[in-house]
Amino acid sequence: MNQKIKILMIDDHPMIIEGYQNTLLFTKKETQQLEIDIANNCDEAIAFMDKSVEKENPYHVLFVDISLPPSADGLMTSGEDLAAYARKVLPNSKIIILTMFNESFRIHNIIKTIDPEGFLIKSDLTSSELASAFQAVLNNPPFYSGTVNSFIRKAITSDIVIDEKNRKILHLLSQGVKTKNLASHLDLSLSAVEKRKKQLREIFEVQDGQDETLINAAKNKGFV
Amino acid sequence: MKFNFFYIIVIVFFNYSFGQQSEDLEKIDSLKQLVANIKLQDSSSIAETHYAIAEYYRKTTPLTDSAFYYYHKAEKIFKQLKAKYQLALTLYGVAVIQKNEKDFIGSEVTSIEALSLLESLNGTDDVLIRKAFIYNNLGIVFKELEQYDESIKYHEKALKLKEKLKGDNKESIDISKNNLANTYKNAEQFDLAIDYYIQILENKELINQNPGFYALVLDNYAHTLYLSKRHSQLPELYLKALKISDSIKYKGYNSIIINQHLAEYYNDKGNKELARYYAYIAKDISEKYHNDDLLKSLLLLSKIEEGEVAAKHLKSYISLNDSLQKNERSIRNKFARIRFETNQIERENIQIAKERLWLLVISVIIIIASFLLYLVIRQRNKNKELQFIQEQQAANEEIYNLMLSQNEKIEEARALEKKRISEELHDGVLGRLFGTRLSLDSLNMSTSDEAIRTRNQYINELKTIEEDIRKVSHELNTDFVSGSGFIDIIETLVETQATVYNLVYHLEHDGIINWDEVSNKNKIHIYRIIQESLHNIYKHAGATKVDISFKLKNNVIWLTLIDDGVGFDVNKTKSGIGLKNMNSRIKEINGIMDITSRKSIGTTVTMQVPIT
Repeated sequence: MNQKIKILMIDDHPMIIEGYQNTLLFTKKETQQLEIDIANNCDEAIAFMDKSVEKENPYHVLFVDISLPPSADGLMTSGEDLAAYARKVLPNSKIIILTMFNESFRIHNIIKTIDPEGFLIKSDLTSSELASAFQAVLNNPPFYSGTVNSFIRKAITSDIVIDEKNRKILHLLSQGVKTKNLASHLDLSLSAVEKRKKQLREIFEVQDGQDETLINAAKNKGFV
Repeated sequence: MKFNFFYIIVIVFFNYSFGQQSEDLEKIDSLKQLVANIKLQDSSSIAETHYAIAEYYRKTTPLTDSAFYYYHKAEKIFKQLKAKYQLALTLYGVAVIQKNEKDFIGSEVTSIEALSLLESLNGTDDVLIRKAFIYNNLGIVFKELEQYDESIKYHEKALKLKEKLKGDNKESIDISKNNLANTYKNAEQFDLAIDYYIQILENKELINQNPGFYALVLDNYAHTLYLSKRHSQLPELYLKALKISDSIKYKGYNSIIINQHLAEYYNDKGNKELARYYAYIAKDISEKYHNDDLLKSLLLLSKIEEGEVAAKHLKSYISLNDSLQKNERSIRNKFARIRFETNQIERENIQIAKERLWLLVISVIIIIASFLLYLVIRQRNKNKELQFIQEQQAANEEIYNLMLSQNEKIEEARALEKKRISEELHDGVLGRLFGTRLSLDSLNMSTSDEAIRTRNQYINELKTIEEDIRKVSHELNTDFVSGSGFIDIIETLVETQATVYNLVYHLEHDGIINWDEVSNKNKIHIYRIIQESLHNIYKHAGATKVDISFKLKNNVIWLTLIDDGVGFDVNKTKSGIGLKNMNSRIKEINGIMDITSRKSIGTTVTMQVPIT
């Protein structure tokens, strides 16, 4: 019996989509019949999603890239937003997140908000891994790539608990954002940012006031 | 102590040199010398010495005015020192002089003053004997003033005091008795006078002890007998007195009066021959002294002689009388003058002391004032210097901040560029590479012709990615912002200054100067020098155009400023603060500055600044 699988691939690089397609087509089971839609940006992705809902022919699997140019109306700024939207309109679809980001902040956040069936990091992805991930997600989700798994383990075994805002601060600092600009990014006052930084320094047992030392400590503990 | 010793010497010396006038004067000179050597502070010693000199003059010389002068000096000082006893002695000396010079009223006043001083002291023997002396002097004064009652009263007082005193003062008592008897004689109480004379003469020792005095008393006694018309013992008593007197000193001073008395006696008896004989002897002796005794002798002769000779003597008498009176008057005037002069000198001294004090006060004030002024000026200069340094520092800080903010801008631009490249790598290159890898990976499993063809396609894709990476790499290599910061600052400075000063400017700079290598200190100084130069060009040169250029030659920055102003004589112009500042700045960064200027053509300032 032929299994028809409807797929939506969202990535702004045609080469990557091509890569996914090639991989899936070469590795699919004989019984599986793939029907792939391609979206290169947020607007296209939403249009495909809405159309499938309308036709009551929902996607089985969604491949979502995190870094995408924002939508025309500015509501969707990344694959993360798209995934959240998909969860809402296509509750039965399996979502595979594919990202270049291997920073822990993103991983943590994405798992928390989307809880995707698949989570793959592009930099350590091979075609066989992608193939097994695809099969696993279809039959026995979830499938997380090795990096993601090791991150989750680290976060769980660590005694350190930090809230969302602090994670964001660490993330932004690691991006090289200056402390004085953090306030506007986070919608906090400068003194509040300083307070949180001080708190973070205490948590990570950092003695000096350098951002670099703090970031390094956080990286070692898997928070960045 | 010093004084006492000194006084003793003086006294000893007095006794020794009694009657040796020329030597006396020498001694006085040496005393005066001593006064000059005494320290000014030791005023009591000075006064004592003045007193000693005065006493000396009074007792041994006829120079009464000199004596008076020194008494007066001593009196002034003793008055200041409130030394009552010494003052009384001094006044007594003055009173005696006044009496001798027939200023009886003056002598009386002075004596009373001395007496009242002694009254206020304890009645020691010294004080009492002085009092007796003063009473004696007063007695003589009142006798001369023909106030015999007063005279008798004072003589009796003197006598009583002398009798009360212990010790051998019989001689002094006898003198007092003689004086008292003289007063009685003048008062024509002959019996009382005779009583006292006899009391004196009863002392059989007297003729041996003091024959001069004995002769004097004997003569007085005889004259009293003559006046009371008891001629029984005359002229034998006169002749005895004359004999004693001549035995001491032939034709001495004391014999004048005896000879006069004898002449008077013989004249009374009608023995013109003897009367004339004694009268001429009296006149001869008294001519040596030229005083009242001569006067009396002349009067006597005019009575004894007759006719023309008598008239001649009378005439001499009158002229001598006149001259003596004139003398007395002049002496008295002299005294008054001495008083006045010393007062004046004293006043002048006070005035001089006052002036000196003022001078001292004024000079002290001036010194203090000038010292304060000096302090104030120094402080002010220091403050100015400090202020200048502060201003300088503030200006430097400003430039430094300017450079910092410029650096910040550059940093920001760099960060932005970094981000752009990173994004380009991430989004463009990395994505494509990933896609290609994934495709190749999947194609790896197949060996079909189609798969080989597709793989070839992806390998070509890798080539274009390579090209892209090369492009990004090249972009990374060219640092578009490097080093432009300082020149930007200079350009801003020159532009704003030129606008304000209304100058046309041309700024040229060598791209090869790596401003990042130049230390901030040097940059600040270069900035300030340009600022200062532009200011000078505006203020002094009146230029319309300025060319500024930075060039690198042999690793040295050559900064040149050329204007078309009026120019100035480089050698003659006194360095203003602006030029000085520029020089000190250039020295600070081990640079060289050279200024050439030509009148109405312009000025060129060339500076060489080492990079490090």
